[in-house]
Amino acid sequence: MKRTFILIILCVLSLNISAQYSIKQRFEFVHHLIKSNDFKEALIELDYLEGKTTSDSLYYLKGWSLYSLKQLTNSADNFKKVSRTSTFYHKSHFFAAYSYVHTRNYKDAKRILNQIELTPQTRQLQDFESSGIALLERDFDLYETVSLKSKHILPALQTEVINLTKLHASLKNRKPKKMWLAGLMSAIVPGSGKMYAGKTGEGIASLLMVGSTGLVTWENHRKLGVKNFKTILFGSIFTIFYVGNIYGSVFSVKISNEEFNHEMDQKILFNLHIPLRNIFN
Amino acid sequence: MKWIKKYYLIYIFLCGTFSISQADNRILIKADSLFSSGKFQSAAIEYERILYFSDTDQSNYDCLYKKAQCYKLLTDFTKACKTLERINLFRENINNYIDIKRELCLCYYLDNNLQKALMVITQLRHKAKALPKETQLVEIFVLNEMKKWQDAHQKAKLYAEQYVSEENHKLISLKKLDSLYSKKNLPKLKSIDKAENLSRFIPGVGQLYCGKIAEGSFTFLFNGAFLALGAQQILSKFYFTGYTAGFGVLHKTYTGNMARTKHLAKKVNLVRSTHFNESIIKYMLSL
Repeated sequence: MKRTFILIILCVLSLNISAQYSIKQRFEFVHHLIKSNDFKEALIELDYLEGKTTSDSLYYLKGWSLYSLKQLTNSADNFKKVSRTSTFYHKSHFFAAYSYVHTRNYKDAKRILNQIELTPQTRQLQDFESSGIALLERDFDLYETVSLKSKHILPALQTEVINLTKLHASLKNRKPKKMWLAGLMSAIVPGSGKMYAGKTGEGIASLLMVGSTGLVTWENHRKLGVKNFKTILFGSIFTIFYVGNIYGSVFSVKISNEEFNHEMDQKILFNLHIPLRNIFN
Repeated sequence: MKWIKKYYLIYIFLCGTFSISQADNRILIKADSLFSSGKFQSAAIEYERILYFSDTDQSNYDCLYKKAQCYKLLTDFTKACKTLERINLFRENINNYIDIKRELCLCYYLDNNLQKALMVITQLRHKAKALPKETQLVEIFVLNEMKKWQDAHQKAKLYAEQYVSEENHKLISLKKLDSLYSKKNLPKLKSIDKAENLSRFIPGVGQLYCGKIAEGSFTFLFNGAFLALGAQQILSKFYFTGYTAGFGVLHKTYTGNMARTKHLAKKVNLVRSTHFNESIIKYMLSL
């Protein structure tokens, strides 16, 4: 009787136990959600696991889901919690560094890269990523020191190393355009400052606009005199256009410089990302 | 003693089998209870979990169908469509097939994927003897959205004949539908090309065509004023002033006005067809 009673209790308990999933099964399920691109659902499931385990997989998967959802700072915070014993250690820490680079937090990115425990293979990757950060910071001396120069570059890095070298050359050879020079040029020949900034179309349009209002003012001044209302009206319009064009030229140089830098930064980030995906995926 | 051992082994085996089958049911109950308490996101995860850990076809259909319902209620119609598309239709019986396609065409319609919704309706028409009531409604709404008023009218009449039981009410409904779809009541859509061309020849007439009388009149006067200024200045031998202040500005307002007319015609068409479709949806749902 006593034994039967114990057996019944065990069976009731087994009902509850079998209705719950083990931590391992939950991780398998999270993997499945991530593979199906259901990152939000994966994060909900990982939040449930947060207090129950401190496994490296938890931080890696959370970091990866957040990375896929473009929440880069949170992603990096999770990636860097992955310990050295994990198989995801290198991937996590390199992606943490890349996430910080993408958010322009170069200081944390460099700190993470320097702390990574390296293998011969990942040493080249570390140097490559560091050289990319140096380029992003426009620290050309540091770039030349850390950039990969050996003949035995990893196949996954070869194309990107060449690309970074080309980007370095374009950055180094470009002379930043001067705002004051653009302003001066536009004051002498309207629109020429914009052409100097690389915006030829805008420059020609400005030249025509300022030139035509100038001609109208000159025509009215010649025929009606300086005190006539029409001369004053068109003269005022000409002055506004003329001064506005100088101001616009100064800013078009600033915008042009920013556009160039942004384009270069995007290219560098792209080249830093490709080897990470090739090596770790 | 030998018999007691056998008894225990049989007991354990039966209890184990029973508890495993009960566990699946308990998780399904948990997902269903999350669904009924309005926690659709969590319910969707639980249904996906059952799908991942289970092999039976029945739970496949049930879970995917309910998961799609969760996304539909979360107004994530794209995910609802994707979930329904995962159901293996070859394994399902005709009733399940109809249910899946009915939901799928509704989700496509709500996701503004009109061509796919129509395609699913065509598939359903081939497979089922008659379209479900909801699908017939969706078909009418889809045809309205696609501006196929005549087809929509025919389908709406068939729907009223089929589902309005009372004879008097049926006659009233049919008359109402005829009046709703009458030529007089149909949205008078503006030709975008015509609106643009009208503004090309006489600035402001395109706006008048789109029903914007004040804007059209102002545009006409504005462009006319610059044209007159240009002509007057040239006649007064102020060639540069006439060309720049008159025709130069006119060129800008003239081309800008054509683009504005095009945008206006599109906007008017959208407002009118949306208003018409909404009145049809309101009436059809009241039947």
